[in-house]
Amino acid sequence: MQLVVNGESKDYNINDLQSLLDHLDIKAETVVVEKNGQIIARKTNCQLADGDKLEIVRFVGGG
Amino acid sequence: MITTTIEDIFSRNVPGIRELLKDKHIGIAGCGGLGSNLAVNLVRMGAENLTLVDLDKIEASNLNRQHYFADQIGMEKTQALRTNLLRINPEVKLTCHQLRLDESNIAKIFDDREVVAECFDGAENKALLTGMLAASAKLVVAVSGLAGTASAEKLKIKRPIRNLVVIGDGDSPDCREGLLSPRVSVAAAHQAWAILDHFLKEGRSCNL
Repeated sequence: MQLVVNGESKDYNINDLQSLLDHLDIKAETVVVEKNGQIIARKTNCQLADGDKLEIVRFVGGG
Repeated sequence: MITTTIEDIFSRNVPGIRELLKDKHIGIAGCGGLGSNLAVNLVRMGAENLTLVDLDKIEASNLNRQHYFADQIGMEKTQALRTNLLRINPEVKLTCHQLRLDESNIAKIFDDREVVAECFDGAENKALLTGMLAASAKLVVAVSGLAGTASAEKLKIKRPIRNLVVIGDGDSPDCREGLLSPRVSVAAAHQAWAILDHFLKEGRSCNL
């Protein structure tokens, strides 16, 4: 399906958020994800649909 | 003894900024390198109503970047920061919580705060607090990516989603490589500015 991830539209062969994070090699506990303008609660998986817009905000340590 | 008035302290401030920030409720989650320097910046601009939260006591390894002093090693960070902020402006009103923030208490502790600064050290804690509070319609000003020796110019202010400002360089190395005071200070100063910017814009939209 076609997804817009952080502004970039690409074809992905996945169905849910966790699979997308796995595909991108991102640990779910270190991100805030917004899908179509709504923040997805932490560690919650959700189904993705063609055309969904996702913003994945990654956090790295240090402070 | 020299008598100092609040007006003396702020006589070189940009006019109107102390009045804008003085009664704003601002939360600071974590009083380490980011939180301690951010709090100092906010108080020097005129903010007086801060909530400070941290679990830790001051250790010697904090002094390379955190706004504490050698004679404060062993003190609770929230209490030491309270002391240091009161030395800048004796009229600040601080709410201090010496505890670990987690899923069970984040919403309650920052319930009355319009803006919360994410000042943690660990990536998972950063994501937890930021996700919970941004979803609850508070402005979160977070930091991600400040380790290493790259130019502090690379620390950018971004607004990736609604209710969230993130400051960082996007590709800094793991923080286990070390943290340097100039980069931590610049990130904290960017946080202070982003909070000021929020209230300036809010003020303008109210006056329209």
